[in-house]
Amino acid sequence: MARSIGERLRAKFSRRHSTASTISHSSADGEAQAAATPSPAPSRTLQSHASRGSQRPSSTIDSATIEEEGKDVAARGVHVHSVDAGEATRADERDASGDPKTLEYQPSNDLHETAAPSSKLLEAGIDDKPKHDSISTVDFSTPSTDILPVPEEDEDEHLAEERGEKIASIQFDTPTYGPANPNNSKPDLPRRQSLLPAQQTKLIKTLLETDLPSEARAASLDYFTNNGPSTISPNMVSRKIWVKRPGASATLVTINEDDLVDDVRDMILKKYANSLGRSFDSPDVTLRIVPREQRQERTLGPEEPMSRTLDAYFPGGQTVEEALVIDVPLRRTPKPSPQPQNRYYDEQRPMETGSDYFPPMPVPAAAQSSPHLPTVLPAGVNGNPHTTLTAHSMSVLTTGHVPALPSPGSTTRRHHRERPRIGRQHTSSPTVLNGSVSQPAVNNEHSSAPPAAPPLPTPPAPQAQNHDLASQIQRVATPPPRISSPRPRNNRPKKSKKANGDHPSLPAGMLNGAVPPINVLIVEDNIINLKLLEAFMKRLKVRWQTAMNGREAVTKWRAGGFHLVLMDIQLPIMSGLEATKEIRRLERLNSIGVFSSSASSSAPEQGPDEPSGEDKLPSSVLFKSPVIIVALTASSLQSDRHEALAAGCNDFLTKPVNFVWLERKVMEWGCMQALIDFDGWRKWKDFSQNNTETEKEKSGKAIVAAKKKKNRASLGSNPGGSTSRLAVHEEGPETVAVS
Amino acid sequence: MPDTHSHEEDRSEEGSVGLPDLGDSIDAMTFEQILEMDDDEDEREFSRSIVFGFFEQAEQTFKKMDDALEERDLATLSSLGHFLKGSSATLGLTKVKDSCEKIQHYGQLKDEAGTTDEPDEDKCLERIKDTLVAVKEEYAEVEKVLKKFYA
Repeated sequence: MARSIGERLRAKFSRRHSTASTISHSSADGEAQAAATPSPAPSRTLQSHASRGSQRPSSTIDSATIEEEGKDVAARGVHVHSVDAGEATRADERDASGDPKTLEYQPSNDLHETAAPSSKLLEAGIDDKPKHDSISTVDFSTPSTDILPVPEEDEDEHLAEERGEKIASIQFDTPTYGPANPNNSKPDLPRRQSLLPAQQTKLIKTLLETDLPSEARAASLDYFTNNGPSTISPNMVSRKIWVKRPGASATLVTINEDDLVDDVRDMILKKYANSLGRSFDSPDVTLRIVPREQRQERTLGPEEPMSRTLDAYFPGGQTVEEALVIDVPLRRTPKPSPQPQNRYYDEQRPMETGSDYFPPMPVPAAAQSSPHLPTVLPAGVNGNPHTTLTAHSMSVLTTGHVPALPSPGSTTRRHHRERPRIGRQHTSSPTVLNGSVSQPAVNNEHSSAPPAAPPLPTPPAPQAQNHDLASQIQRVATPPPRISSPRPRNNRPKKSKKANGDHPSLPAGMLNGAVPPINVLIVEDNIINLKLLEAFMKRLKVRWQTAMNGREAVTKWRAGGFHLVLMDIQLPIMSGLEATKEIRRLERLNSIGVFSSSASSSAPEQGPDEPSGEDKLPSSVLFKSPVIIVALTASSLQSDRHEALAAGCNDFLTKPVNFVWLERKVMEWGCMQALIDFDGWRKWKDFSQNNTETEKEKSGKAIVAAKKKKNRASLGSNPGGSTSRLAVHEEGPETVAVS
Repeated sequence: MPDTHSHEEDRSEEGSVGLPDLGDSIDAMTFEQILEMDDDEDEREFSRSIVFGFFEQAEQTFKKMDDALEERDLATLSSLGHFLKGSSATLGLTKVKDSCEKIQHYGQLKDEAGTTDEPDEDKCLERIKDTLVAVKEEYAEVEKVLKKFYA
């Protein structure tokens, strides 16, 4: 025990050293004696001094003193620490009265009166004060001659001080000790000791700076230039405590002297930033103390003062074996899905969603997180959402293929960029959440009761590669399955198509190298909204058509050629959800987007479901891939959004539609469709490079669209699979190329 | 939810620059993006057509709501509430939008947030009646502001 105490003391030494050395220099002498005085055998002090090694004096002296105390300690139990203080006080009294016998075992008499140790200590300090004041000049009048005869003595002081944890400063005048001590000339002076709780740093400081005569202070500064009073600061009054997880190795946690157990939990979470900090909040953590002497172990309450509790349980100091045991609840705090979360917070989503989707997370993790990493960010912490937006923008996904942003849009964007935030139109693209699609749905079960939050803005992740998107779409379940990576297959037919020389004519807008040449169907029953969306599509220079209800939307979609549908959810005649379901059903029946690889696997289910009659689409040529349906909803109900996703929407935008978001959606989904329709894309690119005359065709959008559709012949349909039957008319060149 | 909204709107209003003061019942950012669609900032032809189109629509809708209220037609009230909610949201007329949403929810026999069922039809009709009065006032306010803006 003594050994480990010595270690602990050494660990604390640096802190103590600076504190102590600012105190009277003579105190070192006195202290050494103080440690010895309680002993019935004064010679022991000498012994221990003599036997003290130059390297580890502390442990030796400590063992000596501790042994002595041990006699009492065993009986004292929990209150040993305060008894120490009392003992020291009495030692002082004894010294003052010059009667050593009064000291001897006095402490044990009122061992258990020390229920309020600090008050007692203060009392002692106060009692002591008048005397102290009277002789304070004496203590410091001759600091230079007061130097410790042996360097270790200084440490002794710290040791003794350490034992009496609460004694912050001790000033002894030791007339009988110290060979060169000039204070010998005043042998009748009582020994002074100022007993202050260590946590009262202010008091210490005040005492040090006011009680010391200026000359003495100056002198002390001369001698201890590096350890002058100015070096005392509250953070020096920290200590380290051992903690461990059950069955794991212990570790030291630095706490402040006056920290509560609750503060310690925070420190522990910082220390265990990975294993605990990521999944637990500090109130989840409980600390168990396992006292010595086979006493019942106990869980510490958050309000208990850590230092004092430790001192009470482990008089003489806590050893590594006595580390506090960290307990955490078995049920882990639900973990957020890492990917979407960052972005949700990037957009400074309203907090109420945060409570639905993301558990409160420990501050340390948040503080360390970078905006670009999928870490936990409380809303608002990320002060620079745009950085992240840029980093995750869709353009990254299609690097190398996506030209610069459209000119009309860029003005808009610049304008918006000046704003601190995106506004309250939040959208969510669950399909790019890297497979976390199911999570919102799950959470929705919990969140449906309170008014749910707007949807979650999710710029696409850069790593949302094409195959990812594809697989996610499959996960959404409504769109028909398709191959994970459409590109390779698309590349080959492209050549044959190029060879046939049928150059597509594209709207001039496409030629600015911005938004992919997509065709958008706007489904919106409110003429105001419709007008706005149309105007916006015009600005983006993409083709669009409109539908005012779900039935009309399905009808228009059946004509083919649409890449993107902006679908209002609540529509007359047929709701957006019904329309979406119908579109998905038809897509499935007609195997749209089914490529050979997946066609074989899904063949069994398709066999009996051969589209027939009115369900059969005119030609699959115009349906390269499942259309992207972005739901538009003014609803603030989360359930509505999930319903939309469940119906087969790929994404949703909240009304009022933020045009920045809308542009982004058009871009990203358009780019994705362009990847799927790679040959069309390439043609468009080649065409835009080689043919400038199409600019004249600005007005001829309808014609252009028709042509375009024709050119985007069914690469998706698979000549070898069951789908080939659906694409009979257009199969010619592709068949050669593909097979 | 309404709290969050108003809070957010406050922030977005603070954040927008150079927008005419449209009062606190209009979400500046949303409205601004419509203004950005104008080719000519003096004429403001496009946004004017949108805004005045909305006036027309709102007044028609209010009239239909009055009629439906008379007929105690909750379903129609709900759908009218939804309808006007869409366009008022698009224009950033947040107060009108919120009230319309309430009407929509009341019409579905739910509480104002649309989360709890409120089976009492009379209660819902009463609430719609009150909300309708409120939303007309809110509308009158934004109409005044907007007409002044386009004057």
